[in-house]
Amino acid sequence: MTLQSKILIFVATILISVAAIVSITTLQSAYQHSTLQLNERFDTARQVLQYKLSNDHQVLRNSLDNAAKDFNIKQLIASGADDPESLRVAMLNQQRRIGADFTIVYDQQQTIMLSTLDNGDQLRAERFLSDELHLQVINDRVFLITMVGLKFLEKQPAFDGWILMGINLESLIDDSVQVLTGFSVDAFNQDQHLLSATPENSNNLMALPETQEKNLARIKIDNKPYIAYRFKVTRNDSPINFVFSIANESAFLDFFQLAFQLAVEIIIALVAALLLSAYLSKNITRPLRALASVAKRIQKGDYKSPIPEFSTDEVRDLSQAFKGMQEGIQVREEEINQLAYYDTLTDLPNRNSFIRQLQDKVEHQSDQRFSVLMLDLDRFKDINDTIGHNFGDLLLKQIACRIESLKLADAFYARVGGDEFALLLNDVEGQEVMSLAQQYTQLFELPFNIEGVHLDVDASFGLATYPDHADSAYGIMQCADIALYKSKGTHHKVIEYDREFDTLSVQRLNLMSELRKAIEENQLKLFYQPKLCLTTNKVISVECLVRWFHPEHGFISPDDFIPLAEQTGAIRDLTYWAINTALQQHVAWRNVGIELRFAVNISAVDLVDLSLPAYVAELLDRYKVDSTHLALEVTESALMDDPDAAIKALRMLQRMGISLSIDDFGTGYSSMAYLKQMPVSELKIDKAFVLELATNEDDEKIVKSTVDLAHNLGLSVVAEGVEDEAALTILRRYNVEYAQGYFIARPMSADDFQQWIDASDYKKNAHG
Amino acid sequence: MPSSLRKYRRLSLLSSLSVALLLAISTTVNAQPLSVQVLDHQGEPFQGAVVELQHPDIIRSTELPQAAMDQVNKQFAPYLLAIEQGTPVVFPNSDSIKHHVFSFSAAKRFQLKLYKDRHPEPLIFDKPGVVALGCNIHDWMVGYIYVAQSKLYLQSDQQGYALFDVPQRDYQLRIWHPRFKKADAQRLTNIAPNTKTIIFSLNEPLHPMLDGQADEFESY
Repeated sequence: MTLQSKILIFVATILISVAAIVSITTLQSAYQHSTLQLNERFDTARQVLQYKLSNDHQVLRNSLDNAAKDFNIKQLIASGADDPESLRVAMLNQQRRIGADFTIVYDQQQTIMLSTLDNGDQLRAERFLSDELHLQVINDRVFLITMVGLKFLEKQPAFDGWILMGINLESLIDDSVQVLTGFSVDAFNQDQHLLSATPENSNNLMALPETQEKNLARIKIDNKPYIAYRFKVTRNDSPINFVFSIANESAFLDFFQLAFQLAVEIIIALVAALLLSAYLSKNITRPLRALASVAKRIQKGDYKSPIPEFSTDEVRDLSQAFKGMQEGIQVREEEINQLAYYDTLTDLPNRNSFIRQLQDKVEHQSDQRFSVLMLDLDRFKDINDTIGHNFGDLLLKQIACRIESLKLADAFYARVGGDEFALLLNDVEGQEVMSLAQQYTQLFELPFNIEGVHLDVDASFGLATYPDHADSAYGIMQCADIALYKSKGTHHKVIEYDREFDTLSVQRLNLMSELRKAIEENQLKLFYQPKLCLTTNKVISVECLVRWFHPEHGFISPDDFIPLAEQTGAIRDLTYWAINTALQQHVAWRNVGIELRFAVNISAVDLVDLSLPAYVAELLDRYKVDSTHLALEVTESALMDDPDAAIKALRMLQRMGISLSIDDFGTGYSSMAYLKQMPVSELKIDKAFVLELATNEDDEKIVKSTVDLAHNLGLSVVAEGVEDEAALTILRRYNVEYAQGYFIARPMSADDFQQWIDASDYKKNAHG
Repeated sequence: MPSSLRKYRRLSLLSSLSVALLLAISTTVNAQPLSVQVLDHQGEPFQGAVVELQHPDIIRSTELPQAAMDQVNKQFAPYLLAIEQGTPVVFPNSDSIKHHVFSFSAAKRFQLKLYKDRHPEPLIFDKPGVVALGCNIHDWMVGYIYVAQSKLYLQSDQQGYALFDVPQRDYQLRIWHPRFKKADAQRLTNIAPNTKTIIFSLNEPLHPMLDGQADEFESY
């Protein structure tokens, strides 16, 4: 229900109630007043009628008195017995003169001397001796009867006769009475209607009870309501009743007029009030509706539309609140937009923003070519780790500045990841895009100056072009990403996307879901690469390396799936599998007389997994392998991720008698302070420093100093990547304990290794 | 008082005396006194009532003197005139104005227009009974003529006495006066012979006295 109709109903209800109460009380009191007045009118009318009748009676009496004193009348009466005819004629004359309807003359003994009424003998003189008003029913008619005594001598004490005359009431109560009183007059006795103003309704009137004070009778005459009033003119025991009656509509004429007037006034007031309240409520609801539509516009994100002004204070306040709200929402949405679509560090658009920009272009300018250039800083993590995150952030800001300063071909830039930037290059044609990309690579030729520190930073670039490589925003991003990834792997500066890259990328995405299955289905194998002891020239340990032979994709490099496994947590299963498999192999070879120490790689994730030591202990116990035959290798970078946790885990393993190595040493940024605390027994120099050892003096120096460092810390040293005799010689000279590399042997399957070791000179005499 | 009124009053007195004289003569043989006293219902003596003794043996008078009912000062005079049956009565009209005397009584119905100085013939009242006289011109004028059957009648004196001296007979006694109520007026009393004294007491109260009546009684 709308507010307007609610207001209307509310107002109408109140108005109607008030009107009803006013009408009822007014009409009630008016009706009571009318009834009271009517009662008084009836009383007055009764008095008028009574007065009239007694007056008529008196007039008749006077006339009779005069007649009775007339000498001739006396004489005629005195001689009535002798000359009745003269008396009759004289009395008829008197009767006509007086206007009476009949005459009776009684003699001294009250016997009738003369009657002009046929059955006059029913009237006994004694009944009319008193001089009050007498009404008598004769022959179904009512007569006013008066009798006077007659004395021949006025001073005589006794009457000598009586003269009685009757007048029909019908001739007395004529229309003038009705006009005078305002009522119809009826009269009746027990049996019959005697005087009829309303002859057709005699029954109703006769049934009427005697009217009580202030209690008028209501009857129906001709099916119309009448008010009636019954009374007696003469004594209460008189059988003659009179009834005044009046039609309701006449009786309550004033009342009906008042009621009508009231009804008209109420209807006018009601209509006026309803119109007024409709107008008022519309004035209330119209702003509400206007504001509601404003709110809907705001909901749809339209913050620009003007908010209507209103003159009413409350509504104006509300309207201003809306305006404030709209502005507030606009500001906050901009902030949210900023947060959602802009990178807070560099103030460049973020990944979402970039994708939206791409979607927008694809959607609205699908026929225009454009390219996406993705760039990723090389070794940014290392930079962060080495010089701190603050410096990393400053570096990212400077890079953003440089990208912006280039302002090429109205390009759109965004920071789409920690150290990843993306550029949207518009309107590019074939070869030109590559040269544009080259310009971006040149941004990294000059070192960055961060708070006085000069930093050389390299970046890899991947390039993809719409619609050649993909026809969607995400597609083109993915292509650029794949190209970037390829660029990183191949150490090219810029690589443009090629459809061939797809297999790799798709593989990569699927790998993780398949890794667990691969473990279960034995797709994984351990390959073994011997570590040659340079002092004994024997092989006494092997490094176990995971190989994945996918039934569809064939061989998958650990470089492809190990980082992913670390990211997804699957590395744990992989590590457990590797240790388990290695120990099984150890037992297998021990049984054939080949006793080797097995080195298994564990990741940073494994280090913080506190259930690893327990698992290793259980396996050692299960396969009855001495803990000295198991070594675990952790990369330097894994240790330095969280050195304190690493130290804790390594100590636990060390106490179990397991020897520990730091792998790929020299590629991370080891803290010497931590290094000396690390409970490791071995250091493996990264192959990067060993591969060109014989020809590169720097490498030689690094290896020498590293070996010295390790030895000084009481650690043995393993050199990886030994690919020639010269390197081996140098390593021997530096007293490196172990060497590992293609020059000695590639990683081999268990079977190949067994054949190789059996055939080689390096085989340690099991019994010697 | 005009001389004519005095003359008639003297005349009436004279006639009364002559009646009494006649009675005295006729009862001389064996007449005996008979005293009738009229008392009103309160036992007070009533003056002026006509007391008549009736008996079939009473011989009517052969010569009846003329009686007069005068009109004096717009009143009948006397108020009550008792006469024997057959007496002629004159209506002299001593007033200087016109009177219209009438009677509707059964004993004598008549009307007589009386003008000053014009004397109509006397009327003979030959039926016994009471004749009520009125004047059609003057409603207040009322007079009565008591027409007695017998010649033995008197009017009671101041002590209510009517003293007869009559032969002993079983008379019927009738006593009348306009002030008597009907029953008292119609009452007949039988008187045994040798009765000396009768007291007639009215059973009912009297009619009130009419205006002018008192004057008349005062003159006695």
